Amino acid sequence: MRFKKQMLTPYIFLMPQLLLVGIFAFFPLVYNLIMSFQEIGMISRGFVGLDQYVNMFEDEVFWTSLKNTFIYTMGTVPLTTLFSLVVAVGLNQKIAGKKIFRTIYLFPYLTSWVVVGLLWQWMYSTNYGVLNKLLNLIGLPSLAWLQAPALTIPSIIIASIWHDVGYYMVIFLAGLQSISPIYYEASTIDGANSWKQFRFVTLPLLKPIIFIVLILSMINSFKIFDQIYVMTGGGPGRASLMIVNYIYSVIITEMRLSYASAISIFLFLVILILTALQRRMFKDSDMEVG
Amino acid sequence: MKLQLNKTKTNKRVSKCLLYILLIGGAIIMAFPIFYMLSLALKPAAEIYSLDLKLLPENIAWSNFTEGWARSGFNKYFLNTIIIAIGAVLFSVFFNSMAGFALAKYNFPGRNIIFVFILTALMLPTQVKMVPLYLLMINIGWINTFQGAIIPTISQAFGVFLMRQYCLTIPTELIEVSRIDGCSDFRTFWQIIFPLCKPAMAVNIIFQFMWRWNDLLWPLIVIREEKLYTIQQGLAFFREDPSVAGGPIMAMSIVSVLPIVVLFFALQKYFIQGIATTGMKV
Repeated sequence: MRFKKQMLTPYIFLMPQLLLVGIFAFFPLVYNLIMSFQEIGMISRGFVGLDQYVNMFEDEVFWTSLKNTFIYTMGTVPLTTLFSLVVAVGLNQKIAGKKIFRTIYLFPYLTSWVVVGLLWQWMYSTNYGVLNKLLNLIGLPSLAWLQAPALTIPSIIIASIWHDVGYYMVIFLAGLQSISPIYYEASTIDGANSWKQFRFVTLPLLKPIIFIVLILSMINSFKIFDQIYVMTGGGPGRASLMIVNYIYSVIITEMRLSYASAISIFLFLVILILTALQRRMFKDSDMEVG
Repeated sequence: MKLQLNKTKTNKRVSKCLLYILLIGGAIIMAFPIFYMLSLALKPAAEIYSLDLKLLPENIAWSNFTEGWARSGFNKYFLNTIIIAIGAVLFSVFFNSMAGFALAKYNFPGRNIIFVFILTALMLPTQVKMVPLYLLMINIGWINTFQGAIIPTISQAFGVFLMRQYCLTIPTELIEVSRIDGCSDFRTFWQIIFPLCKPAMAVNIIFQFMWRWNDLLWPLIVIREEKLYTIQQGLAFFREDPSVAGGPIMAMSIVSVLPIVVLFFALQKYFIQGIATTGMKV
């Protein structure tokens, strides 16, 4: 009896979390998948096979939102990674005020995306915005940052980079600190200068972390919602409509739940592939973050 | 030889100078929007909506804060968000550490499958399960309730992963000794493991709190009544009100960030550690 009770203990410890994951993560996934093969009418509900997915691929708005999200990701990910890496490498040197720098760079990460959106909307304001003021000061014309379709996504990218640089910088710093000083000592003896050290010691050893940051930031980019909701509402027109914002409006405004399910499954597959790549990288690398 | 040495020394000095210029320049760019937010929050409307823009307010308008606070229900929104964030933190910390402990310290059939199952939650952010969760909330009557805003968010895997990693570092002998002393496993967990896990729990608390505090998407779906709005919803809708000026909006934005800023400065060490670990989080 005693033996049996002992066997049950771990399951009892796990029970609440398992229930939560089952009900609020796993069940929604399965249900989402089922719904994406259905059409829900006013009274009827039937399986329609792949119709929703066919709709999706024929839906111009879906393609626009996918294209926008892709452009946003392609702009955000490399720049954020590059900047945060440069700052982390800089802060990893022997310098004064390291902690102050780290705090300043990390500070924007504390603000919510809603606040980021509200604040940058003011900075970007065509008539009253500080950025146009600065442009005018150096003799350049004002820009319609959030109103000109070609500028909207780049403007949002800038705000996102500002928010995220500190976050990835901390991840990089953790990675840099886990590199044994022996490598640097050895390369100094071999006569390597700082650039060569960076190029031939830091960069190769940091490769797994760089890869992880790239993927994390890609996943986060595909999940973008709040900034768009606050700053542009997807506009002007659909110039900054992102996938999640489109799903949200399909659910809330159009009430086409099955169709929203199909797009959700598409987004899930993107995240699944990226996560699988990330896990694989963690297994391959013997360096751990943190 | 001496010349060579001098040259590398000067080189080093030059590159250090460049490094400082780069870091300080970057820091100014990073700090500027925050500074500007403060400036806007303290400017009277006439100075905000002025074509002759000044960086600093000429007349300080504290009234932006009082007006923002009074105009819409920020006291309500604050209280709601505190309830939601603290509720989510309590449940997460407790359930995550139980699960993390079991996964780290017991050998039982199905352990790996269960671990993988819990990790699937990593790939299922709110963004990909809006439809089923929305329907689920409607069906169990959790729309416009605190439990609806709290419970679905605590299925995240980050805390479990964090606690598991931490519990792995606790010597198993501790558990065995207390077992020999006749302590039940639950008492062992509560009285020995739980207190030992404080550092990992601090990390979990900070991040759960910040995620809930800053979240917009889930509250938007589950909370549709103004009196239950969270602070982020309040801010987002405050902006849509055409009669609200920029000053009060920025003032309320600052107020909304304050709790996280306090948390950050009080527990900076754990904060930094947590981010380093969120390399794992999706």
